[in-house]
Amino acid sequence: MLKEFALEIQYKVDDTYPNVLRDYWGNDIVSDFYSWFLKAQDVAQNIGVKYIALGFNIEDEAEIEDCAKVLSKIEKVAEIQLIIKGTANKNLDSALLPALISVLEKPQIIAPVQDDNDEVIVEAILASGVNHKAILRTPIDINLTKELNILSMDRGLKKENIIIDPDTGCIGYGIDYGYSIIERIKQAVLAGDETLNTPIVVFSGYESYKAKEAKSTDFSSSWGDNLTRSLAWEISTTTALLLAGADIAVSCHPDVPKKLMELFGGSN
Amino acid sequence: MLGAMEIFKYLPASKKAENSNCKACGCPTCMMFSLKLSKGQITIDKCPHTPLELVEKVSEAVKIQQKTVEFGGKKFGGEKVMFRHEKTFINPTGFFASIDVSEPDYLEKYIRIRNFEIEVIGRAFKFDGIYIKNSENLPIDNFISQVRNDGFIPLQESDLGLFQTFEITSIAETSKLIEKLTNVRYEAVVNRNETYSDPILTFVNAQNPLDICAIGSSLVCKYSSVIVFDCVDEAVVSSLVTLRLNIFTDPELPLKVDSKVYEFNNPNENSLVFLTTNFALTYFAVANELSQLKRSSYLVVTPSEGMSVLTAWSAEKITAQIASKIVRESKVLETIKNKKLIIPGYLADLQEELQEELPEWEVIIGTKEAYQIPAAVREYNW
Repeated sequence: MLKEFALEIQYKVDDTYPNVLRDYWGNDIVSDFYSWFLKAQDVAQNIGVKYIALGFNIEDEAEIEDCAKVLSKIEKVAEIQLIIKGTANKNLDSALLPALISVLEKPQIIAPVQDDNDEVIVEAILASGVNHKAILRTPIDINLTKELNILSMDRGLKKENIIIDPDTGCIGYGIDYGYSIIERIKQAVLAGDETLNTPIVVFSGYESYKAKEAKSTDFSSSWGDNLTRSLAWEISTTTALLLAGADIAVSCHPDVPKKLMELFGGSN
Repeated sequence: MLGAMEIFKYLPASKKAENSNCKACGCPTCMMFSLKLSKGQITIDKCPHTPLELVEKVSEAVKIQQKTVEFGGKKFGGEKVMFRHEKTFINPTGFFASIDVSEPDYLEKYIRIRNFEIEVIGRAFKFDGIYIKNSENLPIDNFISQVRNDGFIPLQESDLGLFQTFEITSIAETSKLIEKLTNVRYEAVVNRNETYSDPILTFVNAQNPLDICAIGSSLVCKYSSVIVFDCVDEAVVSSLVTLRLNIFTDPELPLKVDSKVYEFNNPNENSLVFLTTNFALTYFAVANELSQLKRSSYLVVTPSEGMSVLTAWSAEKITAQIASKIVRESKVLETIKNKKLIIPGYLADLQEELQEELPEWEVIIGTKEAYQIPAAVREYNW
């Protein structure tokens, strides 16, 4: 499978949102999710990025209704495949993701489905009658990955609708665990393990910007300038994980997939 | 090398045949010979009864996979596996900067490279060495001495014979190059093919920083023993140093750090005191934050079997007793004037009990995530 690329944008931003991303998109744009989506779609189509991940980074169930409203509005103008991304907080996602699924009319990708909320979310997907895919996330453990795949298929999720997310970290923050899990998964598939034979996604952009190195301007000159360092952090992280065998990389700065397509070949 | 039992199968004593335990090799039994041979403590020719099949197997097993090249105490190459999870990668990819001594401003470039130093998880990193280019007919002995004195390895064209060398100029060539290096590595470590046993040195001549980053990242992961950079960008080298540290970490090492009181930025009796568990990633996340604070601090790391805060909490590997014990036993913490102990936000339920165990301390519920620490330190004036 040729590598595929995605861009991630956030439902809301505050002053912790990385400056280099804010500078790229524009301060006004990032404060309006719908406008941001339109711009991101434009950029994605120009570069050849295949998906846009909508990160619904809410803190409270009270915000769910507004999320669903804007998602519905976005889907109507979306020409690109969407990844509907929750908070990763299992309790909150078990309310958020089914609500978002209920307003979707076209097949999209739902993330992250984890062990504790998989029943609720997979059932919502199946009940919708729409052929959504699910990103199943497990905490860097190949046995848990297998388990959740098997469990989800038992519940009725089709294998071709499963994408694996091994919850990898970025460079400096434990990327080696995720890197080796991905290599081991691909080896197992080559040796005949069909339960693991699904595409692998990494949210390498989101993980990279958790790192101080990608966010902060508070470093010595040996660390270089902020923009180059943020891009380098994302590029190093993403390149390594794609080489390990990841199939889909979700990035935050559009220059990253643009650059990586020169190495890996594009997706359209 | 073959295991002792595998060797023993071929020897007389395993079949109770004639010559069992004959002691011709100087060992009391065939089993003892097998053990010594598997450890490399004896050679196979000492035994007059080894079948040809065993002799062939042993000579194959001792054949070197990838040669090791050593300069000034640093080793390059010597790898034994295709994938780090099979065992581990051994010698981190060497990072060399290329200096063209025929250029008039070469010393300026050298000084910039000499000054490059970053710290990752408490360890200092600089370039490993300098590749000296175009030195023909130039008097560079002084420069070479300076490079050595500054702690760098001077590499010259005459040293290239120790490596299989490759070159890459554009990012579009990366895939093909990685395929080649993968093949070389396979021939070396799996087929033990001597033709491919020299370590790999790659010249990265791309000039665009992001290209260098993508190419360099690929080479660190997939099989270059040394990289010579023509163009140096600090931001890019920082990320490559970090990636290299991660890829060359031994996967078998326990995911935990020692349980003790760690120090950041030269702490004293006025410093902050934090607490967390000894899961490696937890420790790294918190340690990174504390090392970047303007204030100095201590970090109490509990013996929680390498579990993260929440896991340790649910498995009762972090309790008021466990936490208070390590605090009370620390001589250095006794000196703290304003005894405030900042515990992880996820251990809020622990606060009351821990407070009872440590009456001389004020137990404060800190942040849930490490990255929230700096803002909290500013806001709460601990």
